[in-house]
Amino acid sequence: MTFGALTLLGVFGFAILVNIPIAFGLILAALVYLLVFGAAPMMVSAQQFVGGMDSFTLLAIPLFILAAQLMNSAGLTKRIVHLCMSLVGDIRGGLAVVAVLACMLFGALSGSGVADVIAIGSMLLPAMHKNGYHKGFSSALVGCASSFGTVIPPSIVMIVYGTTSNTSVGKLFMGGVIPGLLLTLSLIGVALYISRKHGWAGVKPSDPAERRRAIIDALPALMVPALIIGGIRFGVFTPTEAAASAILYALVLGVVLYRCLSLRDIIDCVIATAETSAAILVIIGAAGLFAWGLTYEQVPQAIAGIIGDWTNSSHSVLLLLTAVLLVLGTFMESIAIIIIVTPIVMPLLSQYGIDPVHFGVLLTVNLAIGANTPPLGIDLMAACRISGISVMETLRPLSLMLMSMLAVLMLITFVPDIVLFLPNLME
Amino acid sequence: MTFSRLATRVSNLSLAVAAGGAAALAALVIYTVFMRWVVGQTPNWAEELPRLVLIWTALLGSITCTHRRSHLNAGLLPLIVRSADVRRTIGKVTDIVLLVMLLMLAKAGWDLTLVTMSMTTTALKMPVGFLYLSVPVGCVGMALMQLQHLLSSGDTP
Repeated sequence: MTFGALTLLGVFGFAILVNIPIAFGLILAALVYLLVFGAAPMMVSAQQFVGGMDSFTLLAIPLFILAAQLMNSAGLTKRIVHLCMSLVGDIRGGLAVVAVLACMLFGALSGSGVADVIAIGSMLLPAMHKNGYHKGFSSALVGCASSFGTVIPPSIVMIVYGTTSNTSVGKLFMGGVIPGLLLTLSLIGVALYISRKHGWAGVKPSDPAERRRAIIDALPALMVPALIIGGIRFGVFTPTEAAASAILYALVLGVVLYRCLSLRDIIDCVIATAETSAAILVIIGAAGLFAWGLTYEQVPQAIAGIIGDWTNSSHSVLLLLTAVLLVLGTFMESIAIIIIVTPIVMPLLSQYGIDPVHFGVLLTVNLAIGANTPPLGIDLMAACRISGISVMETLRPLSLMLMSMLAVLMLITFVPDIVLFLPNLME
Repeated sequence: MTFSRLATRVSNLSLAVAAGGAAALAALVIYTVFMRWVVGQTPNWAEELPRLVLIWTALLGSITCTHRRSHLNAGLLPLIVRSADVRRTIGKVTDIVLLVMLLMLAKAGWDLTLVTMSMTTTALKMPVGFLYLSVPVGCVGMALMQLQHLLSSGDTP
């Protein structure tokens, strides 16, 4: 590796350690690199920074964030939780199953793990604690289940990967469906095992009329994934247009059907969207600049060369990338990882004949695991904050949940058809 | 008006404009979908204008993120450095470094804006410099917020 590449990585690593925001750490490393090595005029930094954000597909990020905010304000989250509660809440460990299912369904609306933790966690975690569920267990569960929001479409992480790697976001969304369901099932298994071991009970059973009401009530919310996935699958929308349609749908539900969305609520949602989107987009721009530096120093080619000398097995490469991504995920933010790692691994994918859709889905599952691994497990931290406990209290149940997620990751690594079956139907 | 209040006002103003941008993005894309599927005509600005709005929204929103320290960070420092005094000193040093960095990026963005003002975009026939102008504007705003953090005796990142 060249001295220039080491400077880029070294400055960025140091910046992260001293709590410089990730976006600023990436910019700082690139500016130091440009100043020291004079690889290009300084103007290039501004050009690459803007260039990183200048994509029509990335428009989907603020639009999906706004759609999720509006749906939450329109009471769709409550209806989803109520539906899950009436269907499975009464079994032993039922609240844990409700938490996982609600996170999965809300993940299909929001596209972001942290959004799921806040929306579902603030509603279900207090209820779980009241019913005797251990705080460490319930926080770990909601953290892990919420991270599936990055695997189940729509996924902001997939949009970023698709834009960076020039891969069809529609195919990535389709590729995330089966792994997302497998992750959900495996987590339900672990949740039931732990809950039953401790004798944690369910809630009062619902009568058939109540169940019917809950299904009818939640039907508009359940239509959202169908609108997004169906629209993209049948070529009606691009992901960006699907996000805009989801906003329109949320507005119709909140303003016309449920009449619970005031102008003030809408303005608050838009303001929150602007701040959240800016924090994500500026990382994307900064990572674009940083990735330019790595490419200029020919880091992707160097890494492809090193790995090429080491093995000719695509499975070994996938396992190596998984190990690297899991380590990176423990202390780095998902979007920054994608933008830095993707240009580096793209030559490897073509060299080893690995499908970029398959790798994209593996990447999101890796990052979902990373989002729950201390010290920077962002979903886990958010769940712990709601419960008012430290991350350390989650470690025992968390280890079992992470193992079940790792098992699914290994399965989809070695059986690519699980991921590629639905995307291949689009061709 | 104190410097702190000025910074808060600039932050609020930039967030209000960024929120307007986010709302405009939604409206523009919904309008495009409507035009394509109902009228059967896609506006020629369908990609270019939303991208321009997106970049301005991101950079103006970042001013507020800098003011509220809501940019994502790794949060590793408290795990490595136990002393609050040392952390505060490190925080002040990083505030200075970031201030300088943002001003450098602002200068680079301004130079690029001047160079590209004579070029026009494909669809809107608008100077390309308007796109890059978002960098000096956003970075000067963020630098202002960094300066406010530096001067305040409050908490560090």
